[in-house]
Amino acid sequence: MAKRSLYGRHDISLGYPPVIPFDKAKLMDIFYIFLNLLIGLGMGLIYSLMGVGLSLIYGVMKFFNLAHGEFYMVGGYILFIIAVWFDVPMMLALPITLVAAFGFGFFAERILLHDIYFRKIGDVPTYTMIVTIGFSMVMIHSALLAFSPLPKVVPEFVGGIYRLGDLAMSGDRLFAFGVTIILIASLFVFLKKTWTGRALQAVAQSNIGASIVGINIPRFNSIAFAVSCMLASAAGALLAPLFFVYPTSGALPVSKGWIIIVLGGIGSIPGSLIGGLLLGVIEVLGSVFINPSYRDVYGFIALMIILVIRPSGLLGEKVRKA
Amino acid sequence: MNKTTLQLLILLVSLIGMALLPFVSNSYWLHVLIICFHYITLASSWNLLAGFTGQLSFAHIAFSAIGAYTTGLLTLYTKIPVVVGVLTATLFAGVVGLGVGLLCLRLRKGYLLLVTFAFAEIVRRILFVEYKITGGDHGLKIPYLFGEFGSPLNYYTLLSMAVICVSFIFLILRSHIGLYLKSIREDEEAAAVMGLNVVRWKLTAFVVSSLIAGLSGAIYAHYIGVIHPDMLGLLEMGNITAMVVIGGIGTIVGPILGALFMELTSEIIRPILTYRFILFGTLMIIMMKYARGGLWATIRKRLKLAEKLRS
Repeated sequence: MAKRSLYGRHDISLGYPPVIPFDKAKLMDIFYIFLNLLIGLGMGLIYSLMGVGLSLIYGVMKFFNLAHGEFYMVGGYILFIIAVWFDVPMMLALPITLVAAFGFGFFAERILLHDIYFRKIGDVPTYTMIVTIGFSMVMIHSALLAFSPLPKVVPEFVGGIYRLGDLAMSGDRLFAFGVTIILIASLFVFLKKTWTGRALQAVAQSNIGASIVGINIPRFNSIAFAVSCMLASAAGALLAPLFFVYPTSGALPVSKGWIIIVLGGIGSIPGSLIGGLLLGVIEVLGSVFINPSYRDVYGFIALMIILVIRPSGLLGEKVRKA
Repeated sequence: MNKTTLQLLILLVSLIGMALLPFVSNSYWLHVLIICFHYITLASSWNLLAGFTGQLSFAHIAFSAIGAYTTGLLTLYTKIPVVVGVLTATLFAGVVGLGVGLLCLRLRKGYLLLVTFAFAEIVRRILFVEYKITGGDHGLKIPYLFGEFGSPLNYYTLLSMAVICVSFIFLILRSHIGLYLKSIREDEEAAAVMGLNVVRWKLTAFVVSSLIAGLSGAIYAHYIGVIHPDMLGLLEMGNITAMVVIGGIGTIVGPILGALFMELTSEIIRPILTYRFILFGTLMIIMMKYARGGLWATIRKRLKLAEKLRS
């Protein structure tokens, strides 16, 4: 497979979608804002994959997975191994990555969290969160050991740039948006229509109730963890050709994931979707009208404001206790 | 000789040993120990929050960095003495801690983690972006505390800081406040039903721990002489979490043991230093799964077993 140079890329900025520059005179030019909004919405949509995964784990297992960003990173590396080392075509490599990531998540849950979760001694959420902190440390440094800190280049899914009038967007980005929409739609169908999905919802509603009607809760915990790992890896694999793969590549997407689930409300999947789109809009408006350097801060400020004013998010469970 | 006297004796002997160390050791090991003292202080104060009150916070390292940057910028730009800078920084970290605590201590346990994570990230971003003032990614050279690395004067300063902070935490936990905090950790609702003002005591623990973090960060920054936004990276927080968990979460001795263990191990395995986090992360997972009490509980169990065998 042809290796292309780093400089042929349209955006080399690590992890940041580009803000199209403009002069102050053109500030009110609707076109620039529109283009930025489009990119922001799309990125928000892709990052909402992270949010949906976090939300799913929180709903079913009632803890925050702090190793979620590393699943994003793992997705990128699995794609890199399959596509570059084994020379599999990209369109085939993506489904293989998803299946591998599902397996990875399943076994990670089995090995790490399973017995902690079912011995139920002491403060289970705190312990599980600490375990995931440890797991994320191990994964980042194993990646560092195995792949070196240099960014890895992954071939493109769909090359080229597509134009519609003055609007231009790279093929990879469009492909990523499309696959994200398909993934979220199929997750929705999975949760609403299949027995397994409805069982997952039951476990999220009430552990005890679900076990009374004969749902094997340990198994569904593993499945929830695996599905969320798969979604995070999908985000990682889809964005790999755009932002490269390196050991700490998961840090930024996972922080966006946190913001998204808080904006949309934890434990609500449509909420995560809306939160993702909202985050995209907030970031773009903030960086167009205030200061693009603070692009990542606006989301965090929104997170803090939402948690203080309306802690349940836009759609979601109640979080304030005391 | 009863148990308390024995414990006091051990404490006294180890303190005297620590105080006499600069006369026998070279400056390299003094430097290593000074870093240990910094981490002991940070880990102990995080343990007050996470281990004893049950509030998992990710902003601890941010408070330490706020302390470091406050004193660094003040002493650099206004030329005030280092001592005044450190005191101001401590107070400022406490005030910021009060603000963040007021905002988010009413939320449920996990959500505190989210807000503090967001807060730490905002602080880090601001430090990166306002590079004209803070030096950004290049870091900032600030005035030294007492000259060179590993000098006895620095050693004594950091040692006394660690001893004072740990004994302060110890005294808090021995008083009735300690009982309040532990009851909050065990069951917040039950504590509230018993007539405890839960938010107020959580806030107290949060402010105390951020004050101590600010103090430690400020003194350590002046010792090292360079401040950098990576002081509040996620990795650094993972480091402190690992120290507390490996040593023994929810015990006084645990964080001290964990910090010493991790720093000294890092010195011993210096050739493969970059990968030490694989070891520590694995150790952390194993501790959480099979030995919740960490190293300290394991040691104590052994000691009790030995006592039983002797009698």
